[in-house]
Amino acid sequence: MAFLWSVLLNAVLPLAVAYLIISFLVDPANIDTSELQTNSFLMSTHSIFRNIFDPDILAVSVGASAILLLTSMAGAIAVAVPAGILYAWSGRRALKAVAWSISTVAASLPTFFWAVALELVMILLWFKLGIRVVAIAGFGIDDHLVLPAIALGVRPAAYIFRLTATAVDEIRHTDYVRTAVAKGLPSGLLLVRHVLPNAAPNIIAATVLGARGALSSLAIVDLVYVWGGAGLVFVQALGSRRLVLATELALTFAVASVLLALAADLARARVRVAA
Amino acid sequence: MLLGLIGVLALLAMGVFGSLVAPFDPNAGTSMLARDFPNGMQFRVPPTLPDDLHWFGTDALGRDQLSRILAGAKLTLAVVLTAALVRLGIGLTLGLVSGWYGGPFVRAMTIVASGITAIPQLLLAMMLVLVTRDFGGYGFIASLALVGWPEIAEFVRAESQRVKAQPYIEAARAIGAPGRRIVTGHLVRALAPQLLSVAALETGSVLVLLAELGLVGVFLAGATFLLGDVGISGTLKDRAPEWGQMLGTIQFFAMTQQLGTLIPALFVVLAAASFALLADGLRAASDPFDPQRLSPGTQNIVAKVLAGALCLSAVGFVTVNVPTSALTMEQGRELSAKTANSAWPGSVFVAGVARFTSFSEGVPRPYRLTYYYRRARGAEILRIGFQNADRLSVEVRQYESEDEIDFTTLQPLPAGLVSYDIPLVKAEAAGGAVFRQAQRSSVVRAIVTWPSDRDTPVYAVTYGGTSRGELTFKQVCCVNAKSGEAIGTLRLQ
Repeated sequence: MAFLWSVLLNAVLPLAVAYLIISFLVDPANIDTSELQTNSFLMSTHSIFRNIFDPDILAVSVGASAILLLTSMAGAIAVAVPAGILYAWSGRRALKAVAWSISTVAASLPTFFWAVALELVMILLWFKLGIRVVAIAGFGIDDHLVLPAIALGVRPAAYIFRLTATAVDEIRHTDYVRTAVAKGLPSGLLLVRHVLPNAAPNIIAATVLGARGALSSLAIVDLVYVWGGAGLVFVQALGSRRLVLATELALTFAVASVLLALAADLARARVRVAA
Repeated sequence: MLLGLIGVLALLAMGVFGSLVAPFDPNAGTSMLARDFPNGMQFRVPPTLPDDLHWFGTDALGRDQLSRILAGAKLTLAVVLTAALVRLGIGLTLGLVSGWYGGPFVRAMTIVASGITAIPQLLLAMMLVLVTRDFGGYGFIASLALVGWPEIAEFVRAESQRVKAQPYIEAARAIGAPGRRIVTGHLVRALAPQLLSVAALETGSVLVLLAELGLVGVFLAGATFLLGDVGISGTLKDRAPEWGQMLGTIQFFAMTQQLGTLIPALFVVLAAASFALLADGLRAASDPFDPQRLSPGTQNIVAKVLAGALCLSAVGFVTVNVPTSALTMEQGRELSAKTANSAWPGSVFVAGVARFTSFSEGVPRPYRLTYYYRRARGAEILRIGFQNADRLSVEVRQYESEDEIDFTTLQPLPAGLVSYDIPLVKAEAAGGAVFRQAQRSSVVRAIVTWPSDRDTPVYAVTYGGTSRGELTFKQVCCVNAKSGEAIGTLRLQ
């Protein structure tokens, strides 16, 4: 019952509010999209095999975005969680300072800068030196995925790294871990049995919140790399006055975001129960 | 902290004095850049890469990027700081109210707030900008301010609930201090150091939002598109120098102009980073357990320095104005007379046209100045135009029937006429401004002519829209070109 109540308060009602806001803003009587329409570059940018007038564009673009988001989050977790654990476990101060500074830089630079800078570096490598590392733009579940996933994943990775490091560091200094060390438990076993299970809720919450942040940068990465995901299609739908499609896409974003927030709340609730 | 403080102060100084030190007019562009090189003349088509004349290169319309960055700091910072302050104001008020009073109001606010946070900031801001376009710059600022406040409200709510439980608040309540006084006297004072840090953080995030909007092609004044009037002039039809707009072209020229396109992005990132550093430093300074903490006295000094710099730069933003090197109607006329006389000696001036568009609302500068000269013997007409009222971008061609001016009834105009500013102001006052708001994508043009049925030359200021590529004029306001008196208004519906 309490769970249902919290779902109503944290998911259903906010979604209703979001729907009201979106439908007010996207109302043809209110919105003037002519300036997007005249932006010929924006409107003619789309992945080769699809365009905005395809009947299944909603599913396809949301799917493309989901692939990108999942890949970048998986990459972020794969890099950031081990790095965070190592950071908390390591005793080398200089190395720790360097890692922390890198994460600060990564977290404080905006996603659009990562996207543009990565793209320009790749273009320079290709045009000036003739080295083609990975595909620069376009959709494809191959090397096309690399650059957008990195650009989208840098900030969540930094975020996850920092929160993992703090959580593991905190648990490392608790009494029960000290007792286990004193009893002679090998550090690998200690990590798997005692530290990780207790740090997990924090790490999950960080991941979910990081994904929520990435969700709002999706449109930029979409545009820069011509990924053809929901963000770009949303802008083009506004520009070509397909306002129903735009509403649906914005609502999809809202639903995804609310679900992620709910997941973060659940993960944190576990922390509270455990404590 | 120090680095962030220096960066922010430098940014504010750049906003105030940037347009003074800019080496070129930020709005003056050319469709072709001519440069003298040792081995002869060379022409290059903008955008160009950085060289010793244009240190940061030029943009798609051939405008100097260094000048645009310097001069654009003012508009960018003014918009960003205002939006951040409004955001902070909303967040602080709602957060305090809900943190102090609680109850059903809090629940309602939380639901609305989480509804707003559910829509990604960029998409919401974009929709808001498109909806509030009729309100000009204020609408843009409001759009930046109306997103992102729920996070501040949530932070303030949590903090004020924490402070509310402190013994000294309880003591204040016990002696019967009214709630409003506790909130303004104790609660706000306890939150002040953190609020300062949040303000810096928000300014950075508003700046990033502005840049992202620019990248998508939505910025303060105008839109992105290809021009087709006199060949391809570029991709941007907008004059207000602003950093978000500078990013709008980044995608067009990424393949050929890698370095040039990255420069505005670098400036945005540097600015955002200095705000973030300042925020981090302020947080650490007010945290009693942080090794980088500062004494309350020093904190006070820092806060005062920041507030003072903000006030001074606000004054500076308003007072320091640099006249642009745009041609006035008269200068354009002199210049075009020279050109006409060198082509057709003894030719007679028949009409001058200044065109404005609603896209240039932010900047009072014509979109094109055109002058017509009749050959001394014969009926041919020479048209001399200045794109963007810029003396460098001259286009000369023989008359083709583009405008609806009846040249056969025109008489040669005398010298010593009033500038188009006065007729334009009169026309705006006589309902033109209202019309321009109602008609999106409207075109305004002021024509100085001498119809054969009048004793004196007149300015005819016409308001109209473009529909299917054709100009449809809706309102005409006539002003005496010698005295500046309004003659009459005509509404054509």
